[in-house]
Amino acid sequence: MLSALNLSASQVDPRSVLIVGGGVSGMQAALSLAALGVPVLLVEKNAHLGGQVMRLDKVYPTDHCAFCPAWSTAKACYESPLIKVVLHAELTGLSTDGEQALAEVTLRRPAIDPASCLFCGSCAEACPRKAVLRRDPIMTWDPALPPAMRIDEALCDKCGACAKACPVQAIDLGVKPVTVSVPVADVIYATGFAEPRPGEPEHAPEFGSGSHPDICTAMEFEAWHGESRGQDRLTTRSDGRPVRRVAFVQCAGARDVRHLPYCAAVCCMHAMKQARWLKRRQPDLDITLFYNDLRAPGAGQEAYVRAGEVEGIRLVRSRPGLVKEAGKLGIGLRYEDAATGSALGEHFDMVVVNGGLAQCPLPGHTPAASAGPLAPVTLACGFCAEPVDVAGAVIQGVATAAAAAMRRRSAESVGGDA
Amino acid sequence: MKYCLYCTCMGTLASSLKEEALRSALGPAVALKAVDRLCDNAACRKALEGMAFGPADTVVAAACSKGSRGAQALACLRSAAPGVRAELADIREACVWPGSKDSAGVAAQAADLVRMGFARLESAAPAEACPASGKGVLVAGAGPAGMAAASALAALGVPVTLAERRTSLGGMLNQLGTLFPRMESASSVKAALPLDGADVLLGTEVRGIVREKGGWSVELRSGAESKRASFGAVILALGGRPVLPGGKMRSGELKGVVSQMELDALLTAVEQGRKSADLLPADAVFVQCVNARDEEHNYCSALCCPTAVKNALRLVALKPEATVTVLNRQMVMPGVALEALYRKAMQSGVRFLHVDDMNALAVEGEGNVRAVRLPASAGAPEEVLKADMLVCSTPVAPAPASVELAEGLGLRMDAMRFIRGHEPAHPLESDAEGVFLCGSVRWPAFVDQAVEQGRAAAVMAARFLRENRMPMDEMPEEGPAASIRTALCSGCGRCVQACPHGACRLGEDGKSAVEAELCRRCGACAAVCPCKAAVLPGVPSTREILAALGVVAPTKRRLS
Amino acid sequence: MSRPYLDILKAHNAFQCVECGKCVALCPMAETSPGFSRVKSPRGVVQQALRGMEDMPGVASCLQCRSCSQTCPAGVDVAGLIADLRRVQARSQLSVCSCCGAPMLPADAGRYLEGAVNAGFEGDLSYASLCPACRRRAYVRNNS
Repeated sequence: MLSALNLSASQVDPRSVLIVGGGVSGMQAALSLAALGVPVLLVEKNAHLGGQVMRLDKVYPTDHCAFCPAWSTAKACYESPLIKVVLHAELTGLSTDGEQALAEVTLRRPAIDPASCLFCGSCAEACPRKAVLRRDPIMTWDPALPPAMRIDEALCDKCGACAKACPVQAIDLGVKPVTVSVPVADVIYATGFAEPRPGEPEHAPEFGSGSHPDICTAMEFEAWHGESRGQDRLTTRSDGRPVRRVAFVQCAGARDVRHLPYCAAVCCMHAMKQARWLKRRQPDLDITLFYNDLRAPGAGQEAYVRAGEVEGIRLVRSRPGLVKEAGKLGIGLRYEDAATGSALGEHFDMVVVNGGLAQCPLPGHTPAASAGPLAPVTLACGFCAEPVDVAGAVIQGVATAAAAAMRRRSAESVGGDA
Repeated sequence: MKYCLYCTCMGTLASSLKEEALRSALGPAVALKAVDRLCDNAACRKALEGMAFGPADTVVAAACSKGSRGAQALACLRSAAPGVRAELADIREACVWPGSKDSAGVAAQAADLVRMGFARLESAAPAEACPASGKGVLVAGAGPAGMAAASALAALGVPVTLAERRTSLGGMLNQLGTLFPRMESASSVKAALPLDGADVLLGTEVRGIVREKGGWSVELRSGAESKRASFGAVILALGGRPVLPGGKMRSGELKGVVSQMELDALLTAVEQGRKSADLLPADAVFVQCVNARDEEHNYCSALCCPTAVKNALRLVALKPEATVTVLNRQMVMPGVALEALYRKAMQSGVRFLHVDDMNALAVEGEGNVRAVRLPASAGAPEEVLKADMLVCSTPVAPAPASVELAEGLGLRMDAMRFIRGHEPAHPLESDAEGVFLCGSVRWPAFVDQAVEQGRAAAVMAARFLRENRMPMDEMPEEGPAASIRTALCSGCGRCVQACPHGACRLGEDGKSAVEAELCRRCGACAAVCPCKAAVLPGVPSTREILAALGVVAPTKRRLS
Repeated sequence: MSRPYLDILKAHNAFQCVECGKCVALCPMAETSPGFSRVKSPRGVVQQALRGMEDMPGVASCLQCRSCSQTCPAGVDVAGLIADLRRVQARSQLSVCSCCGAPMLPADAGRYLEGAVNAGFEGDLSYASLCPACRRRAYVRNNS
């Protein structure tokens, strides 16, 4: 497992398929290829496998735990003899000589080397700014990897007290990225999506994202809700007063020619999942979901939405024009009301703004130049190819692996042994 | 011989728990060695220098907790000394760090923890291997999903039989002309799924599927002939069937009220020059969600909106002066490609009107449909849409053959009779071992999705043949199968009832036995066995736990 | 179905309207009348125009603040659409300059002045005779 923290060309079989991105889709592609006897190099930029699913508490439509299946899949990836996993690594360049692809992988090691760390906590005790943590602020710790201490970059002032305290000299605050060139056969992109940070999208400021702590993104809400489990009643992020009314705003920045023109496919169901949780946890909450087209296309999803309606979640077919803090009244929201045919203003204690999920880029991607049967191909699966939910990402990951394996087999039978 | 490796965590624990103190607390029965660290391969190998372990030896690593670096320590230990019987005792988080005891107390507690580890090791039963199947895959149904599955398996060199009850391949691909979202032809998709190397049986129905040792026994019926064949895995790709408008929107009563499939066929015929464009409507009104998302069909088929948009675009391409209006409750066009198709249709002048309740529409006409009247809504006045064709978009339901097979296999279905996978992380895996789902048996799938799912199911089936394990059974710890100690078995049959995988069977001798290849290590048999005959090694049994406790608390307590 | 304003509708992307309601939410005239959405709102105007209706009350009451166009996620330039509709509507009710054709006066006023001039009126008509667009002395002409 700890070999996931270093990479050299000698560790990689040149017949490997390079998979960029170790989220649900990438992991499934990796395991499928390994099961078919194809070696894999799985490159992941975070400190953990599992991708966005690791930031979710539950998944729809079953409301099961999100990261347990991701965890066992990650462990299987680490343990497979045919899969070489590299963490903290990004693909920074890709070229081909017609038969082989040459991948440039840059490893950005964290200051605390996870391979050496004893997890003893001496560094955390020594740090004057409490910048050394046992886990990430957002729970993205990969339980399939042995844990290591982490430095919160935002708080660290590089005084070096931690490095002095470490009994195994595992801390190097001046650690530099290292780039390694690795020959591979084909490439599968599984880079997933990026959620807008608070304040994005800049082109749609009317939704107020980033302007107030009680207007939050879907992931912020997931984290806040998960952390508030111990509390009896929900309280606002800003001043801790009890929450009575919550609004979910869909299509904020998505299906918008000024920002992302496409539909992210998962936000309607995701918001519904969060809304139903809230409602079941605290039935007296007043919850409204503002949508344009409520998309529940997958297995069991429409029934999930209907169940939410029965539970008392109010669905309003209208995109709010304005979400803005309103002092003591909370967060004001202005929308077209079908009943009166006019614009109405309502106030909420928390507003979750579901902005556009941006497909991550495919680094180094260029259309295949050479036409030869052995020429490397690049494929893409999961959200970065087409917005999908978890089930879709799993299916696409496996299907894309099948396509790569089929192509390799037919290429090898044409070109002799490659 | 009992060995204890005391990991001092690079010396950080040495001051609180001295090696000599632990050695004297453990006594002469245990050979103690203090090492710097175990959770790193190189360091672990160095620690084991000069040590060799035999099959009768047991090793306890006195280190940190399993969730911390302990699991890594065990893994390094097992890698450095393959086959070693090793256990972990957490003397760091559970003993030294709490630090409220004096050094003698710490040493005593650490020794207790180590002894508990030995007790667990000694009471564990030996391991057993698990065989894999050597047979091929049956794909039931040759629509786009089934063809993609069989094509992938054949290309991967896995023996595959493709059974289709009709006399031609293709399923829906034979009924559709153009496919969304790329507006490509169905025949080109069919041509891209070659079946060389697959055993294709046309005019053959798949009837009873029954579990047998090593896989599945399937009855294949062709006309009056019927034969049984054995397979290691099965892929269900029987597809769906369209629901008819059933009189809604005055279909059946008025001419010109058709289903989306009928319009699709007409457009294909005109595109291929077989029929005249005069047959196309001048004013078409599409009505979405007919017989869908209502009490009886409480789901969204998700392919009706894209189909309507596709056909609207085809219609205006063939007849630019035609007006097309799509009445919808919402347009389900998720993703990049479908949203772009939606906007393209809008730019071509297709109108999309939101209607809350389709039942409030009034269809006007005598003999032929003439118009559709929409009630006033929040954003729009009452409107009468001229229409010489009214196209009803209806949902897709599971095929009767699919429901029949699922019932025979005991597979769970949802209220609409779609076969349930294990959403969302294992969507194509059914409840039965080695049976996979793809296409509309599981949920309405359009062609792109059906092909993807077929390919994915193919890979999963290939994996299953090799590993004899469903992907969802990726357990964190591999372990041997459960076993029944025949001498203790009373033949009560509780394990047979409890086993969710059908692995426990009562034999002719009246005793129970576990079929190792079906065992999923859930432990249900061991939990319900009143005679303690059923055991699941690798997971601490009650016996092991009691043995460990017995070391530190000599009075045993009976657990009911 | 006839669409007299087809060019204007296409130029301003009116067909892209997904009826999301953001324009209605931001319109400053929202509280001015009952049934605002259906009747006078930006969305109402778009839907009425798409139906080829002649009577569009929202066209006259629009303040041209452009909030609707700025916020529209589908790219419909509602304010521009209303401005163009206004010009087309107005044109049918105005008299135009005999030199450049720009609208000058309401039609009935133009008819009255023409009748007065023809009848030999000798008073000061300078206020009515200088075209604001081309700045030339011109006689009004009825828009026919």
